[in-house]
Amino acid sequence: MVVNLREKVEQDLGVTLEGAFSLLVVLIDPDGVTQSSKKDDRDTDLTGQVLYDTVVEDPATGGRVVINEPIVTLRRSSLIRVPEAGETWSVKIPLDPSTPEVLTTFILDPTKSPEGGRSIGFIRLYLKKAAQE
Amino acid sequence: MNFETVKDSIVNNILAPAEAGRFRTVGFQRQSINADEVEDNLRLVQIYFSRGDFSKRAGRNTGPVQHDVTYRVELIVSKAAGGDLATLDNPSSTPSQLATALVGFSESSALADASLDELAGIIYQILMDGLNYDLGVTKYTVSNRWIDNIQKNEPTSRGSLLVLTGSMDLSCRMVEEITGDVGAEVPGVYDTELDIDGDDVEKTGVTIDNT
Repeated sequence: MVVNLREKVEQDLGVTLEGAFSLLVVLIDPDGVTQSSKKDDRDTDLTGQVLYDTVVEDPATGGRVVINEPIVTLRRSSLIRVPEAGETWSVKIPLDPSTPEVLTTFILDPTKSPEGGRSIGFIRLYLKKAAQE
Repeated sequence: MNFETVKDSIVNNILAPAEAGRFRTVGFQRQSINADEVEDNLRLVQIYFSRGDFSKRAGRNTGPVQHDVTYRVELIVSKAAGGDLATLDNPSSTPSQLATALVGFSESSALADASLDELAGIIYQILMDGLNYDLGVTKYTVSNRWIDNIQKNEPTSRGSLLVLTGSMDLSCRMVEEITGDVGAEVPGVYDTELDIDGDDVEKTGVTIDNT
């Protein structure tokens, strides 16, 4: 059977997002349920694309600025529960790719909603630093 | 000129002594600021001379002129999301405890909004305090001190922190003396409009001494 191109792209996420370039990700959903493994393979750690820097245009000056913004991109089909806009989640990621087993807690909150990618099966999470109050 | 003296006085004699660990003050504009630099009580107050207006007065080459000054006071804060991080980091926490901790987390945008409002209130009260009527300089140097407005800008996500900025305009009136500039020597100036009977030389006038 010929695989639809969209399905093929979604399957390729297993390589592009969860392959050799990926890092460990641990999610805690609003109900307090922790997900640290893939939905369809509970023996495999949940991983995703973790980027620490991004380039944005500074609205004040119009110049391009490199900022430290952790962005995590995950394959939707690997998630038991997918974050929705308006929800608050805890997301743990390594801060340094040289120490991938050391995880730091960040917050996904309504300040900046997750971005779609529903068409080809991924979700992008913009993380906020978490401070103890 | 007095506008420089007054700006320095606002920074060094009024705002800096009042910081008390609640904010930081600089007397100029920074080109770009890292969100980490202004997190929590490192929030920044930038004050600088923004604009001056002089009433046009014909025929004055020297002496005092009225200067209506506006100082721009910029407020910059950044905040992380805040809550029970200890519970989230505790591997022994139950799902119920984790859910409670997540619900209790305050959005960074809400915390930044509150922080900026607080800072605006603090700076307003400091600058408008009756004790600071003279803005820290010699009495009667400054008059009509007033904060014209407070403005809050759109929040900007600077990575993992949320940055929020605001500003206020502090206006006042002062007198500036036109003394000229001590620079390269130039020939004296003669006002040749004077018409004096019997003055064939026609070099009678006012000399401006450029020393």
